[in-house]
Amino acid sequence: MIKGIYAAGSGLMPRMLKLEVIANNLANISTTGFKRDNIFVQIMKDTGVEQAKGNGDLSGLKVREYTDFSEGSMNQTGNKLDLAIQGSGFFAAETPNGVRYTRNGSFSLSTDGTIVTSQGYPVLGTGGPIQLPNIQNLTQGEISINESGEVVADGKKIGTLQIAQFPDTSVLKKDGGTYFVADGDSKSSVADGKSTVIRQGYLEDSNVNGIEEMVQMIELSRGFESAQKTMISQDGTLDKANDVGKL
Amino acid sequence: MNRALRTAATGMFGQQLNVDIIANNLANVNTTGFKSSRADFQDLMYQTLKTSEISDNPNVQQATEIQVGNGTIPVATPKSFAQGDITPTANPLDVAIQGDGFFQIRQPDGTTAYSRDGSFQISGEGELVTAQGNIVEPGLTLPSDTTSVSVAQDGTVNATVAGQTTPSKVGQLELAKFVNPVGLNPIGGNLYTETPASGKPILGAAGSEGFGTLMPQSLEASNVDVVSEMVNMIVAQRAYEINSKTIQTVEDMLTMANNLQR
Repeated sequence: MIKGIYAAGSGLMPRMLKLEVIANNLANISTTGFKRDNIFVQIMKDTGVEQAKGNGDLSGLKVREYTDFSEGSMNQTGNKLDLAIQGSGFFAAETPNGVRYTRNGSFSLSTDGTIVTSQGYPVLGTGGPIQLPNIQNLTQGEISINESGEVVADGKKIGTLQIAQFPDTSVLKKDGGTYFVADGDSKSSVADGKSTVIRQGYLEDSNVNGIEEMVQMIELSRGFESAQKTMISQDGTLDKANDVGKL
Repeated sequence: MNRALRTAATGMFGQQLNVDIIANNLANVNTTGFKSSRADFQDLMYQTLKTSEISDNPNVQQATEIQVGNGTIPVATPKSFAQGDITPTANPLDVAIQGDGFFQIRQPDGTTAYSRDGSFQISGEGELVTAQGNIVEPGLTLPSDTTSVSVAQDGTVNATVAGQTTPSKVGQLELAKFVNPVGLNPIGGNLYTETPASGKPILGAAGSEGFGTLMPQSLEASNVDVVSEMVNMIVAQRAYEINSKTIQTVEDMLTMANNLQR
């Protein structure tokens, strides 16, 4: 009987965690380049066996998280340094803590003409940070970035944006500020203009879908309620059992 | 659970700021030379929770990491410097820039500010000034007996004086442009000041390479697109609402949890 209370409790706890994850998704519904997270509970295949042995109560549940890397919609901004990646891949930025990867291409220029992220970290090209030469005297202050990520300023090619590809995106962990940190190897390459295309003047919206998150929130809230009812009913039954011995 | 409450609150705060910016854009839908802003958001830091897990082999304990985010933060409100519509006004002192560039305006403190608003006037001293009375660089003074003024596409200002039939050149307007105009700091009054992010101004004549041309007797309308602002407002309102639903759900669940103990 006590086990039943634990089982109902295991229905409560992952849902609380899931609500926190959904709350974060919904808070970031307007965050450029944001990728939604989700939590799922996995029941281990040998739970039945473990339970038969009498020690399988809660050990049979795994709470797993995954990040959904599906593409957000493209939003036209018209700014020359707003970039979006259509297709797979990430921009690479050099931060004091090492290289970070992002889908947020809301870039700007630093005083010395280096292309930087909105926090001021240099965006990496194939040969390191991309610096526009002679920015003070640039007579033609036009910067153009083509579909392959080639940066052209003042009619000259300055560099090519590095696009990091991850065959296994599960190595990416979130680091805040729409940055990802890689736990494993990346394959750094450039946009090929076909399967990975750089769009100048566009930003990638958050891939959070309000309706989907709402449905999940209703589902988990109802699931939480039934687990709570189960627990109360288990508690009531135990109460009755305790009354049996009374004279 | 409290984290979910705080996370949803950051979402509501962010959307409120989003609506503030949309409201300012819509309020300036008829402001000459106005450039619309948008709110840029980023996710806050993530907290890594370790949950224990038993693998298929009961002797091996593994830890699974779950990252839970803490919400969102507005980081910037970049402006879009997309061209606004050119509206003819028939006023000889109205000038619109078609393309890149800003007029240079000398502020009362001597520093230079930059503007896309070309609704100029003539001061009592015959100087070309903005509607607020600040001098348009590089400082043009019209003869006192001027009968008509015209501005050419390259910024040349010609004046016809009384008793003459051919206009004579008074001076030339110079444009300034920036490598990263988004980095400019808006100070109100349709003016911007340079910042480290915008870079130094690059000066040049209108119509020269990389600079826009001047459209005489017209003004540049605000580049606010009412339809897309309305769409953004609906999106922001719904996002605000959905974050408030999160708070409601957290509250319901906490009530249920509190009711566990009878």
